[in-house]
Amino acid sequence: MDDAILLMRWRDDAGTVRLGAFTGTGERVVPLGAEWTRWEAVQRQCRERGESLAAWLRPRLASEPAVAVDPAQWILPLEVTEVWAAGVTYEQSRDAREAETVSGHDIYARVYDAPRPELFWKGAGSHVAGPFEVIGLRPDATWHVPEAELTVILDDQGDIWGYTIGNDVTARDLEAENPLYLPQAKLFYHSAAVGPAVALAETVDPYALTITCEIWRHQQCRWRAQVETRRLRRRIEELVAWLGRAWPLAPWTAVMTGTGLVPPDDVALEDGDEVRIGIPPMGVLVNRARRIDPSWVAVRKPPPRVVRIDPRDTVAVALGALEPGHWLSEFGVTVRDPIPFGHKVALTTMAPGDPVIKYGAQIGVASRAIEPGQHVHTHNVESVRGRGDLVTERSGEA
Amino acid sequence: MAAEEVTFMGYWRPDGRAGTRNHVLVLPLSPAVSTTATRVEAQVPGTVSVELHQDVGPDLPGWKLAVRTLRGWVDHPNVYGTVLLALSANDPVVEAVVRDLPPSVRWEVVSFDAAHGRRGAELRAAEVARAWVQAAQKMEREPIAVRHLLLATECGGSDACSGLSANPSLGYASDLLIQHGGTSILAETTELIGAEGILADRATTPEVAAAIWQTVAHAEHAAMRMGVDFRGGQPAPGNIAGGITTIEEKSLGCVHKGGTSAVVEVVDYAERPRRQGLVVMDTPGHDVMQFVGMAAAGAQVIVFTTGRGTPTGAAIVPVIKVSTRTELKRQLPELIDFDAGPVIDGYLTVEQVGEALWRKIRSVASGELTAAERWRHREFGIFPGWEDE
Repeated sequence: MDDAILLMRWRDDAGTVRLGAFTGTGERVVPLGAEWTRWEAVQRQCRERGESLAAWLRPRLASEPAVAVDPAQWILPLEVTEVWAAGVTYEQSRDAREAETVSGHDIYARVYDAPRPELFWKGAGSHVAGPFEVIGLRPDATWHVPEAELTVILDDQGDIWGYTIGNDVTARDLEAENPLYLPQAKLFYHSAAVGPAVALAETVDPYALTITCEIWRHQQCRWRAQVETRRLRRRIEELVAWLGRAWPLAPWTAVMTGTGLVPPDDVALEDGDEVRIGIPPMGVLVNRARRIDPSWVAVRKPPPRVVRIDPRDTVAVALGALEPGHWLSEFGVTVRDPIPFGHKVALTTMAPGDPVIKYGAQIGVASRAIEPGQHVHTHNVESVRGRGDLVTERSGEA
Repeated sequence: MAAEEVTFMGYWRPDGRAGTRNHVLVLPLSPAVSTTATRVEAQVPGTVSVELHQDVGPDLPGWKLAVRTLRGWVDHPNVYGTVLLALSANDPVVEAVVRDLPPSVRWEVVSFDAAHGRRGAELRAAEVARAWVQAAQKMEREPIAVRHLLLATECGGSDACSGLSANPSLGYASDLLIQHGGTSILAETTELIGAEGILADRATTPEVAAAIWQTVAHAEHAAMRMGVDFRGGQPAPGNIAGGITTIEEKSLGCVHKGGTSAVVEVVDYAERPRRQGLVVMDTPGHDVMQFVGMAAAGAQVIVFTTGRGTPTGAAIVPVIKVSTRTELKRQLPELIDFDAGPVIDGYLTVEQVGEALWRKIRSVASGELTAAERWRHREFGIFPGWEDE
């Protein structure tokens, strides 16, 4: 097999999208004419002429001048329409998932052996991150991992057109908590990243590649691992065929083929971490992780919560200002007074002298009658001043 | 519980303890040699030093605690070896610090008199430190059960959210460590006033309960004699505006960072715990003196919750700074290692954040650098005791 032919795009200094092709490392690329801005169009033209894209490109790569492109200017190599992904296609992935899940039933082991693969939706192409773009972390999950995957690009006829690098960012805590949370574990803003270059399918052997994944935090490599694609248990054509059985494959779909690299359980992506996934000859896909929040993408904040810290508590704390009339469904209480952020609202009726319980312990006694929903603070509670025998006695009863 | 043992990647020490770091420490035993210690650190990459700002002598207040603290730093699982700097090899502090150190401890005294002056001492200290750094770098981390971890908990610059997000999350993580057989230190005696009854109820024996009452009473009494009334001004007006009603409530929010585990022991400042579980240590509330004492007890990781942010760090022990609100993490991204704010924003529960903090603790124990380490914060100060003795 000749050298792999790689395709990329970049945005030049004038802001114009340009196409480039290269063999080797991509330090220098051969630019196509400025009239070309999409590989989809180049491919269509080749097909009309009855020529393969690789055959059309190879003489140009040999004869035309190459230029250096600043890596920061590289963008998604093509505009993918949809991203799908497969799971549990490597032995290591099966073992790690089986160890962490609480649901049991061997679901990962069974899908590893079953004829039908695990396939899931990773979002519309418009929500995919390209090279050096931010990958998202759910604000309501705590254990995200990158999943470094060989990624197939299907052409407008559903055929395998090329291979690139994909990152199937996953909220592992949600997936482990309950398999029904899989869609939320897999699909959130910028939960998929693709790039930086596509190797034309006919010029690369997808089962002879090495995938390296690294997590960098503050210039320190926090985790690094490597796997070879020959350990991929399923054939790539098989995965694509299953996906196409009942889904009209959109032109230029990306399909991630599953990960063989699972970080140990003390490694979780954090805001600011950099993920580097290398699959020579397709280069290195670099993305920085960022917690999704309304300051950079139009997502919604959850409503203010009211928390009871301990089930024995007679008060709850407002984590957001509450207005009178607000119904606290969790406690069956209607708020009666304005409750500022961080202040307490009564959950039970307390007579003067009754203990006021927070953290499962007495924080003072009611100095006047308190009704559920009322503000609980210095105006109706007094300290019994620590030291005391009273504290010991009361909490002994609780 | 899962049968599989939870581990971190650490360094085994000959005495059976485990290090989360492998430092070569340059420790001055008198303020007069602090500058020399700093110079040695600058000359030998891979070493850490501290500055000693107080004179230490048998005739000076705080002698006992100073000796115990300095010994605890020399005989610390995170320390590969210690170069002790002194003006004279005959200085009583030298004798007191090195006397009967276990044979497994690697130390050498470099004194100005034996080395014929400042320049000689600096050269000799650098020579020893350089050889140790080279040897230390050859050691490799190994998987070690988390029950070998001694976690120190601390809070400073509390805000209205401390008792709701960061402290309970730390408590949850501390409980997880203890469930896995590890040990946590809850300190800051002055913050325990008002919550001593709760802690005493959780004591494993009547003796431990009595020690809790007695320790808090002692600190309080000492403070009164100094003319400080902890309770009169507590909670502070800012606390009240933030929703804290009583001193009991404030203290409970603080002791929540010790979780809900039983209290197995009360130890003195800088004293090494003998039992596994939650241990109460008698320390002042001052950030630096508190973590220096907990480090001296052998703590290999410190978690410090904060509502205002603080740059402080210990030379030999990683300090994980936990913000109470996401806003603080945004304001001070270079100081905060972990954000408990999603509890306040309603995204996550205390249990979820506690679980994530437990993961962070293991990651830092395995070598991830904290903000204080990246910025080389090395604050040092020894608690002299509650009153002159």
